[in-house]
This record gives sequence, structure tokens and C-alpha cells, in this order.
Amino acid sequence: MSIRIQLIILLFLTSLHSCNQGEIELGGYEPKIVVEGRIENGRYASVQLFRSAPLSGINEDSINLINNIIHAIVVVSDGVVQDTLYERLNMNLFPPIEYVGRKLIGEVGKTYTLKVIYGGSEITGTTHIPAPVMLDDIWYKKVKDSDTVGYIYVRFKNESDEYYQAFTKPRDENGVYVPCLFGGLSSGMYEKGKDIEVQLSRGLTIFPSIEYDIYYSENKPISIKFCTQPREGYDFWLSFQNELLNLQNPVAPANKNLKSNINGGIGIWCGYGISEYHVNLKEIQRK
Amino acid sequence: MCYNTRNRIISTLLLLWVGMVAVFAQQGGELFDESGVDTVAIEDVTVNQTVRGRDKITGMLSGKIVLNTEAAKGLPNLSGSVDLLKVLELTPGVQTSGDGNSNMYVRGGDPGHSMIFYNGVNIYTSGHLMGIFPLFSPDHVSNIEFLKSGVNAQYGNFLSASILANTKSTLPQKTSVKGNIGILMGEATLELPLGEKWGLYLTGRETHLNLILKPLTKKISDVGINDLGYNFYDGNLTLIGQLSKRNKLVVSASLSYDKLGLDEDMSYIDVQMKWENAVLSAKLETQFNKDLYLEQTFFYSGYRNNLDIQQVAVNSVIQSSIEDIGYKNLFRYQIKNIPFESGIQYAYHNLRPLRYETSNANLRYDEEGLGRNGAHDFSAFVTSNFKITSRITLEPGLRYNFYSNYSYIKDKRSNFNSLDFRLLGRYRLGRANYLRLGCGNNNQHINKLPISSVGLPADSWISSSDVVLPQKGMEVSLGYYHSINNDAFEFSSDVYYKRMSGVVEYYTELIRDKEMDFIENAYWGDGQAYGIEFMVKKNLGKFTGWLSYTLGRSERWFDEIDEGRKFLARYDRTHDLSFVGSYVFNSKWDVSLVCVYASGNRYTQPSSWYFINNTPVREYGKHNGARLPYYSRVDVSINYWFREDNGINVSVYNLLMAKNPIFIAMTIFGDENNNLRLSMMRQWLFTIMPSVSWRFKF
Repeated sequence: MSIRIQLIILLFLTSLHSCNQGEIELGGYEPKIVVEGRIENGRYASVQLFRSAPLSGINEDSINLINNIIHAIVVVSDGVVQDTLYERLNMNLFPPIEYVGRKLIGEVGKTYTLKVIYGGSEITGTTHIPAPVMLDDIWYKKVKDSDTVGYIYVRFKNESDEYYQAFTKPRDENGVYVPCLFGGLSSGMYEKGKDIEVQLSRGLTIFPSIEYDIYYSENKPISIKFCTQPREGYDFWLSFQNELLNLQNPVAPANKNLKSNINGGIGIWCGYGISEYHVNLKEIQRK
Repeated sequence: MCYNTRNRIISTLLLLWVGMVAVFAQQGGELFDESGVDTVAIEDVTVNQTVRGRDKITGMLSGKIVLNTEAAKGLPNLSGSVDLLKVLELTPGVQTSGDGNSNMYVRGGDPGHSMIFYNGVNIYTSGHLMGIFPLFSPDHVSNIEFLKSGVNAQYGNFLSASILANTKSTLPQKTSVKGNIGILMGEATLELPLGEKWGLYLTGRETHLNLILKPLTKKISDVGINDLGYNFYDGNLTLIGQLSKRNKLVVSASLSYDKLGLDEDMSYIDVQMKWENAVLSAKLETQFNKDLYLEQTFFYSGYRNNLDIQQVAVNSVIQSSIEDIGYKNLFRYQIKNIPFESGIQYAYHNLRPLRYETSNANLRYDEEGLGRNGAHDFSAFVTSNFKITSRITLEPGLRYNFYSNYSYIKDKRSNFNSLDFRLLGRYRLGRANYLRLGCGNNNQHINKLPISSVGLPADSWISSSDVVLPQKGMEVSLGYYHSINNDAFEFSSDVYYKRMSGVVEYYTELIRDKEMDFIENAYWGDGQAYGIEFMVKKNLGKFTGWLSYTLGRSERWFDEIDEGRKFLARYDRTHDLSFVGSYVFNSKWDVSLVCVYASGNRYTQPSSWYFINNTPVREYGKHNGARLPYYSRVDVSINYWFREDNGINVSVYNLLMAKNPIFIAMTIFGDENNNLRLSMMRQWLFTIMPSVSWRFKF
């Protein structure tokens, strides 16, 4: 083969590499109906509905891509009473529309079914409210004496047969309770009736602020919602955590959908046995 | 893909292959000389050429590639030492694994479907980190035989390929020290005659990557890999003793240790990874007479890895290990002038896969994963080759396997029997061109679970049991070979189809708890792969090399994934084009060029997103439904030789600085105005990597 032909082949092969690496193509969009619903002891049910949005177009400032589903029929039932939820604005939520009950108040031990009728589809879910467990002690400990940040600690007796989940939020800000990082526990991991001490770390959130820190600032008054939950809630929040933390993990990137107990859609319908506390961290600080 | 479409594609590939064969066959030259003289043996002889640039690989005729390590040394390399397994990736049917991945993917198979043998003993580690450092030292390993698709009944029990790394088997004639010292690694090999009948080869390697690169480490890609530290060392020993005229003893040892530290701030993750490998063997070769030969080997092989991850406030440790101890033999004999090979093989496998340990401020627990498994693995095989007619040569083989696994955690034993067949055939069309046929089936009982999605060596080997079914495969291939101008050029093409069952997909979830059974994240299903391969090789002249192209498809289907719909395997690459060329200017200077151009791997891309708890999360679409951007790379090396085996090598890896992503993550975040932004983060490992090394011999 002449040297000329060899050079031509060489140039052709190297020219292949001068091409643009290629844009990342977005795959097909598959809209799904998302349910984020909860019913707590002593409270009405609260349900958010939206349609999942395509990935394309996000950078066009179109945050309204995530559209609340409005005018759906949302019904919660305990098997005897049916409560049709009504729509209202809640500026702590994003998007801000929720469906709220007005007849059925959550009771410990009862099973609640959710039915959503929208656009010719019927979406359902079932859950129950476990008995709540009270916190025996709450205290705050700084990371170092010289710091202004630290962790919150709680202690309680392992009285439930189900699962625990801790949520916190700053009391003086808009927003929702955020699940604490690694704040979900299985009661089966501990001896029944024994004391459990748990360290609470702030959970991940981007709304209303994108700034995230794992610690709690000593200057912030905090609200704590300590919940018991059924298995579906525990699985859901664990998968939620995996999705957020391992998004860009080079070893094992998250690529699995959140666990869901919704039939005909995705998301969560969960009952919680709650106990709620409001604390000023400086006042409960210990060394 | 529906049944009809698959058949159309297979038919098209077959027609294409037949058409191409027809074109080449017309130029086959004279018809075969009926005098019965066969000028080409079925087993190509490994040519130990010392002429640089020639005969890097041989064996295209038989379909069993042999890689000559001496001839390959001048090829581009990262560490001063050419990676022989990466050279195999430049041949047809072996997919480009990509950066940072040292697994082998052969004809659409999974990484665990191919097994590497070191002097005939399974070696379970796939390599050193990131593919920068070769698994084997080319100064200690004399050649690598690549048996695609189970062509030899002696090496069964794996669905794809057997890669045989063979150390030197002749006594050293004189004492010498040779090796190379480069920017990233140094190695040296001592060849030492011990009297007239004994000789020793001893090789040691170590990387000094941390000393040189750690101060220069900066963030890689947009993510922020802050700190990356890596160290490895290994040693190889081969002791040869000519005990008598007929008996030779070869004692071999290979030990390696690797350690990696990675600190990545976007996932709040700090990873410490260690893995170790040991292979020991003692082989006695007895040549009773020219027709009767017996080889007996006692061996040990062990591999373990430890992955320690600190993520925010949680520490997770994942450990896996596998150990083999056993005996095998090979008997060569003739019956009525027909050569036969047969033997028995026994190994006891001791496996401890996926042992988890998790702790945070709130709890700590251990979990045995699948627990300890002990398995007896017995095989017996027989193979032969003979001519049916002057044109037709056949090489049939049979392999029987009995596998018995005991699960300590369940106190349960599971037994499996299988009989595998092989058939290789050649039909001589003319003086220098052949048709070849290969078919056979395989059963695999030691299976590899891919823990890491980017090819990090955190994988786990698991045993077939009552919950883990054996993997089964069947493959058929048709090939054409043509030698042109007395081997100045060689052309080879194959079309293949492979069917698999019991293949595994595993979702690694680092955030887990004790109630999450290993089984929940593992799925078993079926697969198939088909394609067409081409290779053109130039053997003579100042310019030598080869061009290799594979057009292939690898599919899987699982009941639990995407509702049983077919999806493409993660390492499916539709197109895989490789070019290797060497130009020898004179005895002092030569250059080499490697070009790779391949379709990107598959990955699971989000199809939509939504809010949960005021936080955007992703909903994933079809499993492996998206493709990474295409992979391209150009490597070049220049060698200057002071004298034979003594010279300078300057290599540049990824000369054109292509940013080949190893994975893509899509993040949704809010900016300072609370507007949402989508970020397509491509994570690539390295761009341009120069290397300078001094190759020496005293």
C-alpha cells in the first residue's frame, strides 16, 4: 500500500475525532400523575397532585412546567365516612395548590384509602396511621464549642412495631417539614421498649432557599415533627434520600424511581402518627 | 424489538456477510491442491518476532487470537507499559470498555462472562484502577491467547471468552534485568538462570502516581472530585525446573494490592477502596513421547475487595471475596493418528459476597449479604481435531460439569449438572481462504455482580444456588478468512448470534438498611447478542497494523424491568471501530497510532421530573434507554531505541483531548432567583495524558 494511501486513511481516521462529541439527547417524555399525600392523627388529609414535567424546557424559566392538577376529584375514606377534599392555596408548598379534607380527621389505627379521579383515570392508594411515639428528651449539641452550628438529638422509647421518621423545619420561615437526613429508622432494629437516641441532620431541600447545610444553626428556632409511619412511608423516604444524595455519585449513581404505593400514578399516600415540638436551640444546648 | 424485526436484522447481517464472502472468495486464487498437503495447521504457531511492528497478533485463521507481548510493547501506553488487555479491545468482537473500566465485554456479553486465566488459573480481578495500569507486565507474560466464545472445551464454564495469559515457559539463558521507568509507574524483571536446569523470572511493579500527580490534582469535570489518591504494587514469580528430559516443573505466583481514595463533594462522599489478588500454581509437564503428554496443575486463586464509603453522616462498608483451590490436568494423546485432548478439573470455591456493614450516629448493623458459600466444581472434557476430507477440518469438544454449592446461611445444598458441546469447523475454499463455523453452549456457575456502574473494581462474585440460577449460553458463528499475497494482508470476518439466560442486573443502592435483602436489588432475565465483525491486517512492510470494525447489538429482557420489554444491555455499542498502526522508520525510530471510535454505552435517563416535599426529583424512563455520546480516542507513541530492548517511549493518550463521559447525571437546581435550571453533568475521567518512559535491559 503506497504511503499516500496510508496517509489518507490516517487523516480520515483522525478526522473522525475532530467532530463534536455530540449533544446529550433527551429521551421521550412520559407524563405521570404524581400524588404526594399525607394524613396525620388529629388532622385532615392533605394531598398535592401534579403532572410530571419534561426535562426539556427547564432552562427557559418555565418553572410552571410543574403544573398542579386542579379540579380533580380527591376522596379520602376510612371505610365509613367519605371526605371529598377541596382545593386551596398554600404558599408554603411548591407548586402551591393542595387538596385538604374537611370531614375526616385522622385517627390512630384506622386505614384510609385515597381515590383521585382525573382525566378519565382513577388513582388509588391505601395507608394507615400508626400509634405515635412521644419524644422523652430533645437537646442540641454544637459540632465544636467554638461553632455556631450543630446537631439536634432526640430520645424516645421504642414502643412502635413500625417505622420512625423525623422531620424538621425552621419555625420562622415559610416552607414544609423536611425529612432529616438518615432520619428514618426501623423499630425492628432495636429492642422493644428500650430507649433510642437519634442524631438529627438537616434534610436536603431547595425551596424556599437553595442553600443547604447539614447542621442546624443555634440561632434558628426549629420545629420538629417526630412520626411513626408504615413500611411504605419508610421505603419512600429512604429512596427519596438515595435519589438526592447519590445523584452524581461516581461509584453508584442513583437511577431508580422512588418507591411508590400509588396505583395508577407515582408518589406516596402515607399515614403518620405524629408528635410535634418547637424548640429554641440555644435554650436546649448541652455540651 | 419484535421477533420479525430481529429476524430481519439477523438476515440482513447474514446476507451482508455472504455477499462479502462471495466477493472475496472470487479472488481466492487457485483451488486447493488435491495432493493433500495442508500448509496451514489449525493451531497457529505463536511467532516470537523481534522485528518491531510485526505480528502483534496472530491467529486470525483459526479465530483464536494470539497477542505477542514483545511485538506489542511499542504501542501507545499510559504507564510506560502497554496494557495487553486493552490491545485485545482493538480486535473485533471485543467492545471498547471506555475510560476507567478494565472489564472485558465480548460479543455482547456481560463483564463476568469472560474469564482471565493466569497460567491456566482463574484470576478474578479485572485489573488495576482506571485501566491506566495494565493487569499484566508484558515483560513477564510472553503471550495472551484470546479464545472467543468458548471455542476450547478445556476452558468452559463462562459464557463469553477465555483470555489466557501465559508466562515464559523456557529457561532463561543468561542473567538480565529489564523493565521500564515512567512518569506513573516503574517495573523491573529479573531473569536468572539457576544452574543448568532451573531458572527464575521475577517481576515487581509499583506506581508513584501519588508522588507526582497528587499535588497537581484538581477538580475533574464539573462535579468536583477534590481528592484522588491511588497506589498499587504487584509481583510475579515464575520458577522453571527441568527435572528430567521428560519432566518440567513450573511454579508461578502473582500477587497484587491496590488502594484508592476518592473525595467527591457534590455527593458528600469519601470513598476508600482496597482490592487484593493472589494466584499460585505448580504445574508439572510430562512429555512421555512425541504423542503422549500430561500436564498437572495444583492451584490457588484469591481475590477480595473492600469498599468503604463515608457519605455525610453514614459509613457503609461492602466487602466481597472469592477463593479457589484445586487441581486440573490435561492429557494429549492420539488414537489412530487423531490428536485428542482430555482432562479433569476440580476447584473448591469459597465465596463471601456482599457483606455489608452500615453505621451512622443512630445505629450500626452488619449484614452477611448472601453469606458464605462453598462450592465443589468438577469438570471433565475431551476435544479433538481431525480432517473429514481434504477440505474440511473439524474440532469437536465435550465438557461435563458437576457443580455443588452449599449455602452456610441457609444450610442448604444445590447441585447442578451440565453437558456442554463445542464444534469448530473449517472448510478450505482455495489455497488461502477458508470458511469457518463455530457453535457451542456454556453453563456458568460463578457469576459476577456489577456493583459499580462505572467499572470500578467493587464487583462481587456469587455462586449458583437455589436463588441464583446458573447462567446459560448458546452461540453460533460463521467466519471467513482470507490471506492475501502470502500473508502480506489478512482479512477476517465473522457473523455471530448468541443467546443467554440467567443474566443478572443489579441496582446498587448505597443508602440501604438491614431489611433490604440483596435479592430485592438483583434481577434475572434473558439476553441475546448478534453482530458482524471485520478485520483487515497488514503484516509486511514498514507500515503494519490492522483495522477492526464490529457492528453489533446486545439485548436483554427481564420480567421485573420495564414490564418485560426488551432493552439494550448497558455496554451495547452499535459501532466499534479500531485502528492500530505502526511505522518503523529504521532500527532507531518507530511510531504507533491507535484510533478508537465507538458508539456510547447505554444508561438510564430520566424521562420527566416532579416535586416531592418542595424538592425536584427525577422519574426514570426506559432501562438503558439512552446512549452516552460516542467514544473517540487517538493515542500516539514514539519510540527511540538506543539498542535492542533499550530505549525511550513517549506516548500521548487521548491526543485530541476528547472528553469521553463515563456517566451522565441530570441535576435540577434552583439559582439565586429561585429559577430552576437543568444541568446535564458529564463526568469524564481524563483527557490528554502524556507519558514518558525509559525501557531498559542489562
